[in-house]
Parts: sequence; C-alpha cells; structure tokens
Amino acid sequence: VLPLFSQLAVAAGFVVGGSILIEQVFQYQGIGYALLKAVQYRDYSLMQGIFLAITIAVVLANLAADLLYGRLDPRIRVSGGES
Amino acid sequence: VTATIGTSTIETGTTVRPVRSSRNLLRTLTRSTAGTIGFGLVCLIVLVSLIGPLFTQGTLPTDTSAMNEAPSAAHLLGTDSSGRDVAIQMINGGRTVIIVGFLAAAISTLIAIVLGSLAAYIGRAVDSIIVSATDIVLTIPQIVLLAVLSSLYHLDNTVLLAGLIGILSWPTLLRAVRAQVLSLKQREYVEAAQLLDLGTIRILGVEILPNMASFIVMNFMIGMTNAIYQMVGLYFLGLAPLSGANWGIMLNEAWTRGAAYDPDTVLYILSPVIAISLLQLGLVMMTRSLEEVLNPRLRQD
Repeated sequence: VLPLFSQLAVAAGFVVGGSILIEQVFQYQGIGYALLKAVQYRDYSLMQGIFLAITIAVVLANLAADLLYGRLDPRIRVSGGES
Repeated sequence: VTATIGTSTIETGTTVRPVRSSRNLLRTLTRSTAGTIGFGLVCLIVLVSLIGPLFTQGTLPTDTSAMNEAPSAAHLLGTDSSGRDVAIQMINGGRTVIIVGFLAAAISTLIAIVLGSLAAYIGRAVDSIIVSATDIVLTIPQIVLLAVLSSLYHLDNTVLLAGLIGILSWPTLLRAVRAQVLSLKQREYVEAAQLLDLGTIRILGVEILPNMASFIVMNFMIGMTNAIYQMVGLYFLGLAPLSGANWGIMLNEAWTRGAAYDPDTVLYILSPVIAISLLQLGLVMMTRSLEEVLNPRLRQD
C-alpha cells in the first residue's frame, strides 16, 4: 500500500496543474488551459506563476503523504531519540 | 516436449533461456489469443507505416475542387479541408509516431535500467544520489515541461522530440528496476558470483538482468504507449511545429478545422484517433504474450 500511497501523493499534487489536453478539448478554463495560452503567447510571468502554484501543490501533497506514512505504518515512524 | 523447455527458474540460478528455436517462439507467441491479436495489430500497423510510404505520394497537393469530401472509391477515407486524401495521409503519418515511440521508450528504458540497477547494486552514496535525482524528475509534470520546452525550441526534429520525451519518462521505471534488483541481489547465485569476483557489470548484466527480462520488455511496451500519447498530445495542442505528416498533426488539423462537426469528414478526425488507439491496444496486448515467452512460469498449458 505504501508505494501506492506515495504515487497517490504525486498524482494529487499534479491535480492542481490540471490536464492540459482535457482542458483544451473541452475548452475548460482551468489552470492547464491558462498555461497553454501562456505558452502560446510567450507570457513568461504567467507561466512562472502557474509553475509556482503547481510546485506548492506537489510539495504540500508530498509533505502530507510523508506525515501520513507514520499513521499508515507505525514501523516507519522515525524515533527522535529515546522512545 | 514444451514442458522441458525453459524450465530454468530464478531459484536454480541459471539464466532464463525460454525458447530455443524460432518455431517454439512462434508457438509461444500465439498461445494466448489476446497476445496474438495484439502482435498482429502491431505488425500490421508497423508494416503499413514503414513500407506504405514507399508506394504513396510524399507531399499531397492542395486540391480546392475536392474539399471535405465524403468517403468514396477514389478517396477511401474522404478528403480533408485542403482536398488531400486522408487514407494516403494515414499511411504516410504512421512512421514518425512509431519511430518517436520506439526511440523514446528505448532511451528511457536504457536510462532506467542502467541507473536503477547500479543504484540498487552499489548502494550507499550512489543509491541516494540517483534516488534523489529520480524523485526530483518524478515531480516535474512531463507534458507541462514539454509544452514549455516546445515554446523555446523548434521541435521539428524527430530524434530530438524522441530524446526529450525519453529523458523525461524514466523515473517510474527506474524505481521499479531498483526495487527488483534490490530483491534479486540477495539471491544465492548473486552471492556466488560475488564470491567468484566476477565484477559489477558482469553480475548485473549476466546474472541479474536476464531474470528481469520480461519485466523490462513489458515496461518498454508501456513506455512506448506513454511516449506516443505524449507526442500526439504535443502535436494536438499545436505545440510542436506542424510540418510534415503524422497522425498527431492530422488530429490537430482535423480538430482546429472542425472536422468533427461534419458527417462527411468525421472519418478524417476518427481515422488518426482509431489508428493511435489500435496501436496502443496492440502494444498492451502484445506484452501479455511476450511476458509468457520470457517468463516460462506464466505459461498456461
């Protein structure tokens, strides 16, 4: 379960990035669509902003996964000294 | 007779030699129905895409008198909005897709195997460096990075595109390879090889890797489907330059020119979609019979 859980965390992070393809096909005005427009018009500051949002989401999702590891599998809990 | 072939297993420590003759290979390949169908599909598409362009016109002229025609005897799949025959475009357009898919999968599998097995086998500092590099690459959304890169560079070179997709898609496979090697290197025959001082490259290449052959082939096929998906996606979004002919470009043009809304030209947008789906399906189904060829224990009698 644990490897799957870390995969889930990565996937959950990318949710914020959106799916560029799907958003383009259905003209869904999400963050992926905005990114595509930014790439097409060479709007670098918008691109940077979107990358920042995606990065924060991925980092937070991974942090949440790391914190939840200990709950899922007590053996993983790192001992911070004498137990 | 077939039962005695390829009975060597991981436990006995000899490298797996599943098939001895091409007749047996063929028999094993055709043993599972799904695998046979997949194999046939892939062979058909690859043959048509590689040999077909030799018999067709390279670049089709624009014909304004035959725009958006319905399928007929002269144009089997109809014509596009520039009056070009869709069937000929389909035959011409497969080559790039297959080459990019194959090259990208080859590059990513090679990186994953070499780095993954070295990380697991050597361990310590090498392991932690490679694993943290993998984690970094893994958290980069590939299609987003490809989109940005294509805005900066002119990706009209097939090999360059394949290389880009290849060097972005190895992390998941590397993790899997590393996990496999970690468990395989504890086996007795690896210890025996270490005692004989056979050297890292020989132990990895001759003792460990053949035992994961089926796993690697399977992941190669999956890598190929992913690479094709990414490449077609890039063309569909219009991020790669629309020069030449391939299924992704056809899809993009059919979509942007509204071919989906005209009953006459529906085949124009459907044919690349169906061709790509069939190729992907064939590849995935083919892995099943390849798995049986390389892993004798999976064979059903």
